[in-house]
Amino acid sequence: METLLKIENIAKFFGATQVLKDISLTVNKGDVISIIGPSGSGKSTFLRCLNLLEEPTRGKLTYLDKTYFSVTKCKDDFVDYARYQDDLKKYEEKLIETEDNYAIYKNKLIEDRNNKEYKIKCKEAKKEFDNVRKHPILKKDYFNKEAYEEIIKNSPSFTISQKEINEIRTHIGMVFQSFNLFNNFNVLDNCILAQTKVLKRKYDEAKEIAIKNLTSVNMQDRMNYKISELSGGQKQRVAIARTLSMNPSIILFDEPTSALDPEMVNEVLSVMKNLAENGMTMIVVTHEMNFAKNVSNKVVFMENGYIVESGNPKEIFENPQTERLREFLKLDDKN
Amino acid sequence: MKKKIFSFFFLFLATIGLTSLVSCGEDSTADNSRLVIGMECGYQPFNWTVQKASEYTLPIDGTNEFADGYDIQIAKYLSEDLDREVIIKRTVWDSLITDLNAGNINMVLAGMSSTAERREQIDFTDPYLTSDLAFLIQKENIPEGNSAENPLSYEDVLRLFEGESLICQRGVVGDELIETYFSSVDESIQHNDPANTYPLAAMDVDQGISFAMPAEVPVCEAMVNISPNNLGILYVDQSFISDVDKEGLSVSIGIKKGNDELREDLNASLAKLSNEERGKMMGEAAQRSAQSDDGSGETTVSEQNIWTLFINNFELIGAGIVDTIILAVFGTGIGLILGIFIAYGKNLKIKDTDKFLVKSGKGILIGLANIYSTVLRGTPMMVQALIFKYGCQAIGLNWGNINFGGDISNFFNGWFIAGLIVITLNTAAYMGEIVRSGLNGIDKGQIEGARSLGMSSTRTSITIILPQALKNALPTIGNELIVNIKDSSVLNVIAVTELYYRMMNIASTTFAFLDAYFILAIIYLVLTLIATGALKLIEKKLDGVKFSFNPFRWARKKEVF
Repeated sequence: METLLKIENIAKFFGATQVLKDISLTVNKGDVISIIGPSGSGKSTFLRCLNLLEEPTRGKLTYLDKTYFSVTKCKDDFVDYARYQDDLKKYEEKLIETEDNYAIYKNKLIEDRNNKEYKIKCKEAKKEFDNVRKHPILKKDYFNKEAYEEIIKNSPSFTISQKEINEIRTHIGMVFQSFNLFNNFNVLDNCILAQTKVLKRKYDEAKEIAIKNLTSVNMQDRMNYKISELSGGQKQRVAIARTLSMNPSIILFDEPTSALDPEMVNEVLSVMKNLAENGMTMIVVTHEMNFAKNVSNKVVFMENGYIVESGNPKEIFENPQTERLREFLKLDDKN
Repeated sequence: MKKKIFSFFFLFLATIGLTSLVSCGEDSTADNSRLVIGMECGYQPFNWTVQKASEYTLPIDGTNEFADGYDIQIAKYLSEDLDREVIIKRTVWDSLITDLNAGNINMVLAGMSSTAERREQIDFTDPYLTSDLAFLIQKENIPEGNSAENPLSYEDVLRLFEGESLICQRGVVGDELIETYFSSVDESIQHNDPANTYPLAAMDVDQGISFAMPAEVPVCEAMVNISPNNLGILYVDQSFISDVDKEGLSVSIGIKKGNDELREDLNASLAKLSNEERGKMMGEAAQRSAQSDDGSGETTVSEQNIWTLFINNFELIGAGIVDTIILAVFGTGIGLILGIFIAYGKNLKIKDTDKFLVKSGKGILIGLANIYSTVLRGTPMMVQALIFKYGCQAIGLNWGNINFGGDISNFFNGWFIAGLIVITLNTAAYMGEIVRSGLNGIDKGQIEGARSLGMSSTRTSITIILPQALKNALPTIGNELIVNIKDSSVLNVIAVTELYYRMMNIASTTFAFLDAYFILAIIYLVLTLIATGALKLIEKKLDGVKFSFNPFRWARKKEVF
């Protein structure tokens, strides 16, 4: 089976917090991969890293034979560095706070020289300030910043130009939770715009493709509607048609039904099911367990930036290996 | 259609660029071969503006209008006597001396007195008219028997003015005389804030707000025409006035310091003009100034009503309206385009990963955009206009010298272009903020949606973000247009012939101040109403609702809700 997308050791930091820790995944042609997990587990961030809407901090991404992102750094150093920066920030804040405190009592003492209370308080404040100043963070062995920066500098990293990123994005389409349709264009033009501007297709050709895809999502009657005149489910179907019009190899779905009410969820899910049956490669972040169970051929359970468990849906849902997944699925059943 | 609008914009910008080049090459009027005369054209009876040429008038340079008055008769005499071409340039009173020193004109023939203060800046010829001081006063207050032959003594005048207030025009000799001989001598005599023009001061006297207005006899004679039934002249004995102040009561021709050649020529020529001839010219001028603008000489000013005032001056008012509309529309339009650049400049973000050159370049752009919008939004447009005018003069670029000739010059001249530039630059600063708030109001998802399809950031901005931002900002942009329609009136300080300036001229020649300003208010109101309506149409069109007057359609629409 042909491997479309190879994801190796992806990590992502937002400042000092590490959202994705170490994620590797291989996507083959025709795969429908569902990513499930509790909120805040990094599912959406992971998905957005795949088309570089969010740039990973480390890892390697390969589409077919083309590596489009590669940064190799020692992951343990990363955690240390983040912690160090966090500590440094705290230390500086504390330093300012205690110094201010000391200054306040010092000034009070100047005004009122014989006040014993102030004298004691001033002494205490000075002691505290000195303690903070002696914090080990300033010593070299606390964290060797230079050595660390040397590592980063010398670690092989590889980035591609913005133009190449744009090219990759035409192969890896994305459907968002909040649709993100262009409000200043009507339904048909939403599907045509990127085709003519990015893929440089002729207008007539682009229109034909757009109509074909709008028909496949059953939106052919509303081609001239404005986006604001559509319901949520209709918007999401148009968004799928817009992505399809770019003829992508993979489509990423970022919680496509979370913003919809239950009635509309089904119309979107049935469109996605159709796509899967037609052999489209899809990675779906979802809370719809039935979709994950019945449509996908692989389910990935993520928590705290790790892949906890993955396998075919039958294994995952009927015979979960980890305590955490059992708990998660039980909760979901209750709901 | 879009392309047409854009090409029109560029054509306009190109014209502005070209004309500024032309003006750079043009030589100033420093030589004496022509007499380039600066005057207010609104200071009766010395000079004022008329619409039709007659044997007494000379054309005003760069316009389709003509100047009449005592100064014009002197100019004609000088032209004939010295055999030189005469050009009349219209300037506001406060800029006459500046323009003379800048070389835009080579003589000031504007009823200007030779005072010590002025002599520090410019030279003067011998007086071309010497007149007595008199007071404009309500007829009922004139003591019986008072006449030019039987003037009132200084003591009697003081007694008459006791407890009353006096007014004059700002910056003229009469205003100084109030201080010297009246308000400082008798504390009960009040010195009112000077008015901007003699007619305005005379109105004050007519309405009883001020008791009397000191001025030269010919001026008083002209001002009586504001209200012939109510106003009269109080003649006073001249012996109390010192020699220095008497000098101020005579009017002389101002010329640039050191231009002795021209001064000698003028003095020699003026010496040949007898006092009787001068008096006759002045008398006739005063008489003409009393007659209405239509040249028939029958109807007097005070018989005009608001409608005839509007109809008689329709050509002038129309030209003013055209100017105001062009200023507002193009100022807002081009300002919007510049504002987009300023908004993007302010919205630039410096990233840690940028290279040093990119970082510093971005820093400079952000700084420039911020300074621009802070300075231009923090200072009044009137001050900006004046700085622009005198700043350009300082580097040798004089907008007053640009002349396109022909009919178009009636509402399209150098000052107009200067005004357009000022209003555009001013608007751009506000537009920067308006566009920026529009940009910041766009959902980030719109950008992500576009980027996920492979669009570059530039294309995303142009096709997705900017159109939505402008649409959202349309009400505020429209507001700016309405503000510009009204605020373009402050450009009168640099002699832009927009609606307010035209109306001010009409008011000072017809004395119908209340009527003129009432018409002005109505025109501005109508213009802003039209602008509001047009903007509503555009908004509706952008919303996709087809505008229609079909009441059934509206009725059907209501049923839905």
